[in-house]
Amino acid sequence: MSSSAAVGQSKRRAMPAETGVFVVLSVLCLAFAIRFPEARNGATVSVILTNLAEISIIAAGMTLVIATGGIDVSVGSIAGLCGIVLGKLTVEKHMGLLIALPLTLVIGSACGWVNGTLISRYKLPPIIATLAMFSAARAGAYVLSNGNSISGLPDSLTNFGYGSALGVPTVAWLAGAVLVTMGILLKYSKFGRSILSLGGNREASFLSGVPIGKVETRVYVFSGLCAAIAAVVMTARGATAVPDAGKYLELRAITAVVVGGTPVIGGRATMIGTMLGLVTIGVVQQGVVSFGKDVMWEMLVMAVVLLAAVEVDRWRLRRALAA
Amino acid sequence: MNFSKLKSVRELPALGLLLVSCLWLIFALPSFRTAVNLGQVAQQAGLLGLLVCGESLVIITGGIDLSVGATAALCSCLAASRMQAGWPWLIGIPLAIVAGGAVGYVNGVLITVRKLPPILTTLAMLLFLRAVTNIATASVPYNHIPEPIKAIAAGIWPFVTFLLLTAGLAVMMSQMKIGRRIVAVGASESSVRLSGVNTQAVLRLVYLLCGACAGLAGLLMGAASNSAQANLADGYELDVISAVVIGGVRLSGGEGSIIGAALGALIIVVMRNALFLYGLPTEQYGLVIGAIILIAAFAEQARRSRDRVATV
Repeated sequence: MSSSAAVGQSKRRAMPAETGVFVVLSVLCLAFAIRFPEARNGATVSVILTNLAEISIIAAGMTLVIATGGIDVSVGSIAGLCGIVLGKLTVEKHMGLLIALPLTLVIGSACGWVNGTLISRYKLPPIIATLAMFSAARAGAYVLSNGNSISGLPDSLTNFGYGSALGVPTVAWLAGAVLVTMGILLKYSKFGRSILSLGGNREASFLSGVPIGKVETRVYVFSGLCAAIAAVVMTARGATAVPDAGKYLELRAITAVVVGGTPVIGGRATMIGTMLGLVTIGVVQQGVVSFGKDVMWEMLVMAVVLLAAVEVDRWRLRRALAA
Repeated sequence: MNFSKLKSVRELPALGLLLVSCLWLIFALPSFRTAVNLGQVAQQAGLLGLLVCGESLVIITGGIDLSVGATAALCSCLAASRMQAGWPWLIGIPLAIVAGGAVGYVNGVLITVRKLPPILTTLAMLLFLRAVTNIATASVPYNHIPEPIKAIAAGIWPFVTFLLLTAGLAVMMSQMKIGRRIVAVGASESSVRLSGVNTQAVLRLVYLLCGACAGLAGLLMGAASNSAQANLADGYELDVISAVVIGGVRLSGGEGSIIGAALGALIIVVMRNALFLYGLPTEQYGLVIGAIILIAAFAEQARRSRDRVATV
């Protein structure tokens, strides 16, 4: 805050927090477009957006969590559990989607509430509380399903997974809506400001009357809710509920948020940065596929992108401080 | 006997939990106390314990290393591929340890010189190493591991190695200057720096040691299953961190011991073995491990509130 105020008075304009990811993403897009001219079309964009749907929804919640200075490594497991719950309810209990969907979302939120309560009320470090949930929720998915996948999901659900509106896949619309909602919440609501103040200085926000316990718990509930929504998308797209679905989603979501320019120490956050971080992941995924390389190359490139974005961010901050 | 002093021993809950569960298993479950099963428990505890020893050093400084599993896989494949190419096995062991140490040193440099957060640095390292190992080995395992290496990875030998390492590190932590500095850096880096210690060098050394432990563990893991492969120790980082926390090491640094962490590793392996013997599917380990992590964390909270450390 203080640095941006100082920069405002100088001749140099302050660069936004998204500079790092924007530079990295532009370079990647340019390289991709030059190397694969045939991929310069709407179909490629549509594929990239569809593949990003689950990670995007989870990253939206993760941005809030990281803004408080916390971390949630349990989202992939919660998504796996919620997918199985959805499959169980619709296929084995023959429930309608109108009942099964809200129940699934409630389960995800409840997992998040447990995380949040352990962290805010019982003061466990976020990584420990969510690590326990990471183990427990994944085990829960296996216990519920006996390790089997559940197929024969209702058509309305699978149609939703493959549908599109205005030429854009429905799941991408949903992911965009979640990102925008969380972004507005973070930037313009009292809750969002409480999140940032909590992440910036816990003690100061407590002393100035922010109900930090309530805010922190709610952040993890939102993260769990996002994991449940992602589970619905994942199940609809795969047309089966698999107990080990959603593995490594937490790694990808954390990478997207951090690449986007949200610092892991909390107090600052940018949802637009997260969106750019997500698109970066999508472009890297698509690039690796176009090159016909193993998915391992995606991890390799993402590791480099992660460090590159942090370096550009450091350069931006140094420049801002020098001004 | 001074009980009030006993109460402040951080390793006590872990030791108690381990003793109670072992006694219970010895009496209630005849299949636990067979020589074959105990040998397997010892082997697995040794392999996990080597990773835990290194990780506990890092966590005592207040950092975290998510890349230990990936480092183990890289070193295992590197050493196995060189030995398969005809290098003598006596070079294989130092090769794995040095390669692991080098990875750890790079982590340490990124964290101290580039000032990146440990969680971010080692997450990037995890992704990077897994990818490099998979690509370099084309995901094909190496199955021709020399007999002498297999011999030291078999039976209780990993456990013996683990005990020796634990003892060595415990002596280092309590008797040597560097040990005191490691704990002090975790408690308050700035005050240690202001008292004239090169804290960055201490941190680099700690990450180096953690990587070296992971390298040795990887070599032995690959040899124990006679298959050095790129997805070796996949997901182990979480087990390792759980073991350290169960052993009473404070995650924010500054408190905890190598012996506690070693006990944590034993608890995780014994619990796993118990569930296996009771015939529960492997996927359900997670529920028990999750519960144990929570119990350990609550024990830490209780200790902290007793010590009257103020937290908002």
